[in-house]
Amino acid sequence: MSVVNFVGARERCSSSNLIERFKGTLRRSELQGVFSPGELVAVKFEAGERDNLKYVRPLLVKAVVDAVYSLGGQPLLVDTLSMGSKASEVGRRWLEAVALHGFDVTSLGKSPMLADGYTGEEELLVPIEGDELGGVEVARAIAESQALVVISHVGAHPFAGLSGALVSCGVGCASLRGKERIHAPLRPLFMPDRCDGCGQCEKHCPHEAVRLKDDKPFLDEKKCKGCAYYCTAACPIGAVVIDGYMTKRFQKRAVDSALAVTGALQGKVYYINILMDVCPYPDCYPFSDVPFVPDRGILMSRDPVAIDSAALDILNESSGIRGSIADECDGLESSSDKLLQVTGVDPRDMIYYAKKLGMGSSDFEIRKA
Amino acid sequence: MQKEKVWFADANAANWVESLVAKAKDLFYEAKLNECIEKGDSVAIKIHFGEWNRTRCLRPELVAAIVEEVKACGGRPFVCDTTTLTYHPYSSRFIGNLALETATRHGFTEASLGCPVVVADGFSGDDDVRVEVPTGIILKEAYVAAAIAHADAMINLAHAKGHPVASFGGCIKNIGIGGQSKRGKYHEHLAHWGSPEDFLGWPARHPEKCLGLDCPFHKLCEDSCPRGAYHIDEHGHHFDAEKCWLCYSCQITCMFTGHECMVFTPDYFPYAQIAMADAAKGVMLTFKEGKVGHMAYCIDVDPNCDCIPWATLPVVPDIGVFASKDPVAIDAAILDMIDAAPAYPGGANKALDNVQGGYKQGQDKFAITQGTSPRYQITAGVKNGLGNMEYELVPYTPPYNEEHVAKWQIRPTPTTLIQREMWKKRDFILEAAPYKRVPFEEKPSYEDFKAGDRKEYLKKLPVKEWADAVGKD
Repeated sequence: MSVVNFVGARERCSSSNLIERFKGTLRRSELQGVFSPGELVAVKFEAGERDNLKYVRPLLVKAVVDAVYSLGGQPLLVDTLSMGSKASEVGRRWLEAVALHGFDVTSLGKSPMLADGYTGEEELLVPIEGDELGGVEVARAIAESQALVVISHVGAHPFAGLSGALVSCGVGCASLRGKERIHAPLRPLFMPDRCDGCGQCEKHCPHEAVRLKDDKPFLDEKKCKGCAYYCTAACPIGAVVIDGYMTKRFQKRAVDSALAVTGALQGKVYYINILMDVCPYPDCYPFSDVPFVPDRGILMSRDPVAIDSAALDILNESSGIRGSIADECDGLESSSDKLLQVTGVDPRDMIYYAKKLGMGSSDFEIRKA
Repeated sequence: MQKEKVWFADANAANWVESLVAKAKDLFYEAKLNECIEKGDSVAIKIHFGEWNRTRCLRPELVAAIVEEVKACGGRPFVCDTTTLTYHPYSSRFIGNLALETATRHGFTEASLGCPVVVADGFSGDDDVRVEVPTGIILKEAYVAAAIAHADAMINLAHAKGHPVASFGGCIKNIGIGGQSKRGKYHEHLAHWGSPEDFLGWPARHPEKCLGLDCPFHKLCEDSCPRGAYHIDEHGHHFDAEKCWLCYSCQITCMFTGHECMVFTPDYFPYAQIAMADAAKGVMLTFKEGKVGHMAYCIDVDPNCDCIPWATLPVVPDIGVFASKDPVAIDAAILDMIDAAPAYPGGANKALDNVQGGYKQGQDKFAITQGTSPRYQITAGVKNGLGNMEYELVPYTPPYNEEHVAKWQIRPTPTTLIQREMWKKRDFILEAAPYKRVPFEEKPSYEDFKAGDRKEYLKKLPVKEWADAVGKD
């Protein structure tokens, strides 16, 4: 049975300070068995796209860095590039976002860096056996580390259902090329009956793959890289959609990649799921919307299946926030399947596939600090 | 008489252990400055931020070296300087926000140093602690910058160089002026001491020498006074002695634009040095016995202070780093070393050639470049109990062995081993090999790339002395 540690978000007095409880739980957790003193420990955080307001705060990332230091590890703070910019721009955009979001050597005690290089092409191909991908391009700095701590900001994910440990490890630790292959099955479908021809999808596509003809969008298949979020996120009326068979493949590929990442690190991976500011979109979106579930706390585990299952259970148990997307999707009830209702994608498919690949167990015990 | 020990390592370096950074770290322990710091102590590291456009300030790495060792001793360091007075019309450090912009421009940031960077006397320079100085020769009180006064320990980390008023700026000056708040600095400048006529507590004025509105700098001159103490009109120069608090701004403006109306009298300088030693004593009184260590980098020894917004060629070649627990002994040792050193070719010495015949090795260099000997501050520091000028100079040579090479490196074991491990996973060099190049047999002859005789060009160089020297060997 897997162990998932949990610290609740409520802070009733100075001595129940969340950061202190988080750090203390981390130090006592199975994290200490993940690496030996002196080893290089990649700490994967998500800097968040520029203009996103709900990214994980530097203070929480600093707590992880401190815990790694206190256990004798050498932390290496890394993030990877998101899809959708030119090679000459992409690293620069990340650096600007990192600066704006307050992740720097003064706040973290260590300068953050791009694990897949300035253009996202620095990688190590790791072969695996999975349904979708024969091998995955893992960001080089992560593949070169001796252990990995994945900090995930839990929220809804439009293609995976749940953005948690599996997605952050699989998609987040892949290089840009790896991400492109994971996203490859995704292709936007333009709903002609809903589309009013506003042209936002054409304007926002970074690859110039969408062209408007007679006020109707058309996709250039050769140019489309499948990031599928600039066009879908650009549409104000939900006329750009992704089909279910595409998202199923995306889920599998994300898990395949997560398997490659854990393989590259010989299983020396630790997962931290932050269940705070739970939003409808992941942090790689340039907006965040309001949270739809109240802050719950932080989960920690060595098992990505257990930790994502636990996160899913906790979110579904919670009542939704009035006025949020949960309200629009009939997800206010404390037993509603919120992530499925918000995204239309069932995260259980992804978790089940990961379990099938032997990545972890859905039989777990939550230990409250 | 007991001699205070001053440790010294020279500026030469030919290997890892001889890096000035490595030697500074060694000296920190040789001089037992680590004994000043107990675990948990708040430790002020007092440096000079340097004025905007000043290039001969300390480099951040030289400061970070000491920050790291203070941390290693369990101290909680912060690097600080204080607000200045308006020393010239474009002063860049007299309030907190300008001071921090200037510090950042010189690379003194939390990111580069690894600890907070603090303006020790607050935004406006009024945050201070008043200290009685019973042994003071001129000053009987000092106004010490609050962050320094409240710190548990201090490393007085000076840049040794000349100074237009104090003649020399070393460890005494780094706290004697640098540790004072704004009003402390006016106090130490001897503002309103005596009467306007004696020229000691006010600028030495020669209104008859003012060119009035004909002076091309008269507007700058008027603007240079932060108190609006004087103005220039068709009747010449008007001065309100009550308003003036002697910040030197008008004097610097007048003198450095080549004029002689607002100047100093020669007797001002010795008194300023004596007052500075008193103020330094005031700073030391805010610390318990044995809680202050003094270090100085004697490199880039410009004839003028880091508070001057330009830098010229040094007085002497780089000398090295010094450490001691006595601020007077360390300054005395540095001054002796500077005087004993040869003159820097083409430096301040050359500028003085026509006037005074320059200075010879062994002469009091700052007495010649600045017009006043810097030794008044040393003697005053002995008389007011700041320290002892009798010193024993302990030269330090780092051991050259594997262990010591490793001591101050970025990682304790050779980092090449990291690369070796990385190439085991994926070797980009072998993936690219063989590189596309001209076949080895067809390699060009490097003889074809030899440059010809350059004398023709050297003789035309704009530095006449150098051009004339070509071919004379």
